Amino acid sequence: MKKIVLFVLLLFVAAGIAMAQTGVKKKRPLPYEYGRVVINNYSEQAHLAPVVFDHWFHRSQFTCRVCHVDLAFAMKAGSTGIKAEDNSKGYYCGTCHNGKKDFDNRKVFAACSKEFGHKDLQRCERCHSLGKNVKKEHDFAAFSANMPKERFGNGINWEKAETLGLIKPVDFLDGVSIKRPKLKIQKDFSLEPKVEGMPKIVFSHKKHTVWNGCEVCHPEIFAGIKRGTTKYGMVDIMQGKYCGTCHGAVAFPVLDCQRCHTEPVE
Amino acid sequence: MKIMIIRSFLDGGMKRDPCRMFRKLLPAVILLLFACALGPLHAWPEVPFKQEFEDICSRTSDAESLSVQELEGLIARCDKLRPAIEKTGEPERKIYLKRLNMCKDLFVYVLDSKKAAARGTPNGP
Repeated sequence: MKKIVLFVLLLFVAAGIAMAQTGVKKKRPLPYEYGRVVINNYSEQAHLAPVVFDHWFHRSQFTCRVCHVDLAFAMKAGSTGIKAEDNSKGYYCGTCHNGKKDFDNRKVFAACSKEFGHKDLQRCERCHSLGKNVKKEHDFAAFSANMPKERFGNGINWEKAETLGLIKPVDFLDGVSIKRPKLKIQKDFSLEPKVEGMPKIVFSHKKHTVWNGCEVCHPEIFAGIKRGTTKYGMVDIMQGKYCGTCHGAVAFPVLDCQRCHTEPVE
Repeated sequence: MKIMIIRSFLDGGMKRDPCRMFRKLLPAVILLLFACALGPLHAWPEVPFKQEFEDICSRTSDAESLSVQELEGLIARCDKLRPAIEKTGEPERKIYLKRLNMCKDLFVYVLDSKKAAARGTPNGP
């Protein structure tokens, strides 16, 4: 009888452990990992490792708009559905990664080819690198050494880096981007925080429009055009909605309260 | 004058030595090929609807300053262009439809806000 009771008890304990919300803390990415996107729509089907895309390098070269409007990369990781064939036709990554484009006095390697053999494996693994010990061409430590520092994210204050002329993100690709009239400079504005006593949020509309244009944020991320009409809070943002679409994924994370809550309480 | 030169070039050149014309044209052909090779290194392949697509989507930067009529006109042009894009193959179809949708959505969004402002009610959720 005692054995049965002990067995049932053990069974409950084991089931309890198995079903428990263990609450494993999500690992905060290291500066060089921040903004990293793993793309695995078709890679493993093709017996290749998933693609590891480092946002930090690309964002130092291009504005968000070039890739997320002109090249039509979706804002949500993996939702673009890039195929090797698309790249080899010269779209998506293949727009620049075509083996012809010059960068830093050399040709940008071609992303994908219609035919490939063992000799191309090294080139494939430059992107298809998840779980592989691939030496990256661009070293984050060397790149970030002279950049203005930031507490979180990549540890780089990208806005300041641009202001100081350390980065010059390209906003136009010949033959791909559309010649648009000059964007009207938007005025920065402040938003009321929900929590009493928190400093007001100063939203840099100017900086956001310069990097993103209008259509990256409106209406997909922010449906209300009039200030304050899109209601959201920190929980939504932490879940990756609204500001959290970028701030927490690529742009500085919302852990850095003072970056947004900057206006002192009157 | 130009016609005279071309005529004498064709008549004289072709009559005297047929190869001479090709030899004369060779530098021009090489130059043309060189110019083609120097074109935008990341240009996408040409699509038949490109001009209209660019005309429409170039207006996203100043959408805010457009009138209600202009915005409605652009939205109608987006709808009219859609079937032409849908006829193309992949990935052109997927890419241009996404880009066109982004443009149209922005125009609709600005239009709604203008109409809401005219009514005196804020839009959005």
